[in-house]
Amino acid sequence: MTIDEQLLAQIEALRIPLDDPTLVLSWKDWYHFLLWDKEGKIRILVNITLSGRPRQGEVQVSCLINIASDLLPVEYQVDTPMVTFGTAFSLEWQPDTVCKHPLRLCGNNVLLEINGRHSRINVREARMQLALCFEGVAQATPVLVTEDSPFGSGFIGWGLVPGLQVTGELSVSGFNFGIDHRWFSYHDRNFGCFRWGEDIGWEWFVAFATCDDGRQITLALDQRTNKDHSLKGLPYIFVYIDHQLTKTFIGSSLDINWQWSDGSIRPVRLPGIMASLFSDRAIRVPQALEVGAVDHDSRLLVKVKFETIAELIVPDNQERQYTFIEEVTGTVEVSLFLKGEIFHAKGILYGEYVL
Amino acid sequence: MQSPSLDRDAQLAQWLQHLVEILRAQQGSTWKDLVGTVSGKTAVIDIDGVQLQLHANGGEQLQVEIKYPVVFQSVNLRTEAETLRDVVSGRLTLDSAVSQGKIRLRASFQNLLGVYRIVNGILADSAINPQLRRLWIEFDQSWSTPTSCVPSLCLENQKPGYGELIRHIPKDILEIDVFPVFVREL
Repeated sequence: MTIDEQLLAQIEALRIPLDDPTLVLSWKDWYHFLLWDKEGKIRILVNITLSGRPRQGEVQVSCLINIASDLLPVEYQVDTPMVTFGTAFSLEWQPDTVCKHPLRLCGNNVLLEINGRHSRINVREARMQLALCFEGVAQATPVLVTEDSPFGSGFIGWGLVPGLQVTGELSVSGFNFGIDHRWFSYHDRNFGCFRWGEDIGWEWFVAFATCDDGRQITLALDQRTNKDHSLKGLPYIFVYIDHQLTKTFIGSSLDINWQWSDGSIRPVRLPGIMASLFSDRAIRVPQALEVGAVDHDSRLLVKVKFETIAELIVPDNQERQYTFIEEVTGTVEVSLFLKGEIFHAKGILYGEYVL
Repeated sequence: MQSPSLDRDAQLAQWLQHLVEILRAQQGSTWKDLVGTVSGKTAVIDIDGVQLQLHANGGEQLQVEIKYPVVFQSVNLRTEAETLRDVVSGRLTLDSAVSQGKIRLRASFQNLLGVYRIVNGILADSAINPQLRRLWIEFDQSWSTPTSCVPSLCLENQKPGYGELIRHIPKDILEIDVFPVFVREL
């Protein structure tokens, strides 16, 4: 399919104005990738963030991996069907860390390159014995959703490419797993100027599901909120069929219902200082999600059962304040009525509940 | 990087002095906790068998004298760099490290609480103070690491224990009511 390369370049362009010496440290710019295999037995999140400015900023890398227990030797199996591995580390942002055209971010144990439809990502962490490298080619219709939505004390923008063809390899504790074209991969970009820990939050997911006849449905939901989710912005879901943006449900046509655990637990946390600092924090966790959408000619019902949760705690870089990102994955069933046609599909969903 | 010309005890002492200066420049609650906890006191620490004797005085104008080489049988804080790495990487909580004997502490309860506040303060400050992150990286990359490769654990197994200390206190002791007002009257 044809990709609008100009739009893609606009989405992928680094937005932090590097030439401004007075740049405030609240600027951030991040590249978010998700990958999972056809059966959803390996689910990978990689996030590479630039925060602040050169010499006074950081490159922050997060990598979260869920692997089905039955893919691992007995000694790695726990009493849950999915096992979690992960790492989070940061590097000082030196002037030669980032090249804007074409985009290249290179530091100790991390590489990100994006040039047109092609991307390349390498992340390594010896202590956690994790290594991930893959190359992607954009396949799905890119969308630049917003460039300047009010968010906290500033603004946020984001765009997405919810379909890449990928190849690569994952290594966890010496076990290697191939990544090939049958995998699903999603990529989005966020940028803006705001502070973590402000009165901000969001509800977001991407789901990839396959119909019996082989057609593929990708759904991407987003709704910005305040920290306790008592105030919610305009929700919307992009519906892709076979990587083509086909439909958007928006606003009051959407009904989003999260179901939570009765009690609080201490979730798995991505390693790092924040995991140590908040080790006693117990939370109620999402167990299921149902999203319905109806408009004059279409209907959508999404039913999710969550299987994994991991918490990522993001500190502000100027004050002791924090944003908590609950990363959840699970199985999804999609029922879609569109243009007189009915689709039933099953697959995997990756979501975030942020507070 | 660890200076090749410095012995390990000298290097460790230099890093500790640097830590004090970073906290002094930063001021704030961590500096106040440090001054309030350590001023006028002496302690012996032992990391991977490298011992230092520290003496702090001067209140707000805190000065820390560090003596080495020293050899003491009884130290106030004994641990290994690998334990510190586990704590900083979120694989092990501070109290779990203490209850498992990976960090051995000998001090009054008040001083222990003070040390706990200082360590948590430094962890929190590291997100907003790049000098602290640089100092940690210097220590982490320079100080020796074990040559054997430990199999990576999944995060479900790495979930750090919390409340380990209180779980080691017998139930009948925990059930004793303590009324501070009586203490004052005594």
